[in-house]
Amino acid sequence: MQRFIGAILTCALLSAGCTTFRGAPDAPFKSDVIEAAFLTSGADLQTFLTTADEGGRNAFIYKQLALVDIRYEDFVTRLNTSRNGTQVVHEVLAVGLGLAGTLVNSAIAKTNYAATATFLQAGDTSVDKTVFYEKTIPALVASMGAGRNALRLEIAKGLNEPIGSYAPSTALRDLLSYSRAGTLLGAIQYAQATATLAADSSAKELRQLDVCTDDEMAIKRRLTSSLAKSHKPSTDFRVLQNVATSINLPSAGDVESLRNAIQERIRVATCADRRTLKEQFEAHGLLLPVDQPATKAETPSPDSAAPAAETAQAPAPVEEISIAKTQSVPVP
Amino acid sequence: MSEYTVKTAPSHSLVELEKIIIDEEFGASEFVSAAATNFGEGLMNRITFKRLEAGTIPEAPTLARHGGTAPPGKAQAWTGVMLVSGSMTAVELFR
Repeated sequence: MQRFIGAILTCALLSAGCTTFRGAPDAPFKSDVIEAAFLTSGADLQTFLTTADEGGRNAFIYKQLALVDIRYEDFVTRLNTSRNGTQVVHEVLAVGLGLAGTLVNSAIAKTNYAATATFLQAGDTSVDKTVFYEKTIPALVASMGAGRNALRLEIAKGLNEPIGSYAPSTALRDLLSYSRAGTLLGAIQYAQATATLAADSSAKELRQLDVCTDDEMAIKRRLTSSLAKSHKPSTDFRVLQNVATSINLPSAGDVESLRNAIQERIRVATCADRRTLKEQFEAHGLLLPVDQPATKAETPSPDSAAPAAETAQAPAPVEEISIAKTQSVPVP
Repeated sequence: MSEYTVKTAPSHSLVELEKIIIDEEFGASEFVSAAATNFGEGLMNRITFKRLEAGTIPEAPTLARHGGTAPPGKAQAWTGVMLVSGSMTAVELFR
């Protein structure tokens, strides 16, 4: 047994020498056998649509489910084994993104899906298409599977219903939907329909960043610099406790917890809130004085006090950053 | 240190996005990555930052379109796709 497992592992690891190892067992039935046995003729369809017999209805439905399933399995296998074929990668990405662009309501989202498809097709090496493909296909397959399961459940319920409640024409519509759920379009539709609610709620929880004025940026920088350990008041428990209380933070038992809590408040403060924080820092002796020795890059200004010595790097003054970048970076 | 995620509107220019990132880093954070993400109501930039030790400000980053030359003394720290002025744009962050 161990030798057998060893042989498999060796084969997997040295796949170049074991070209017949596919990483998946053969299907119990060949798809062409199923196709031949279950393919429906026009006469079969006519009989099905006019039947008043539940047994006949259900037999037809089971055959069609088997046919849809075997085709779906073939499709997924081809998707999963084609990741190294660049033509297939391009086609799937183009189809997936192109279809996504047709499904969303937002005009800007449509534009951007289309732009992404174009961007990916353009051969830009900054985006690894194979990696993108490998990340995309499992998501699409999962979405197809979820959509198919939901419809399969509906059909299963129908099979237990009398013919008056689940007519052949309704069953035919459900079978077509079931088949469509196993397509890229179906995957995107399902993902779009189910993701919107979840995405809306999660997006609302995320803090949205906006552009603050240079003064507001400088205040934030000065507040953080005031918490550097080289600035003595930032290691004084009483000072930190007073600041924390003044900005409605819960009390904490040690200096580190207080510093971290105050830093988090600075981090999430809106542009407008920073002035209030600055006032409280100043009132309790925590604000870094403006005459604190500046590093070489600093140009002291009322709100651009030098970061303390242990900061990772001394950034250029805020005023310099905003003006210099405006001039050097081309506006898109 | 832990990471957290924020979002920005899709309409910001490259200069504005750079200012936004610098401003966030002034709160003892460091840019990790960004991606255009569909939030249901439309695409936005989802940006991930890492929390640094209180009182720490990293070296200011430079954000530029992909394919340009690195600013003197800086190296590429990240590359990816962001929404810049409403369009998918390949960008690079140098530090």
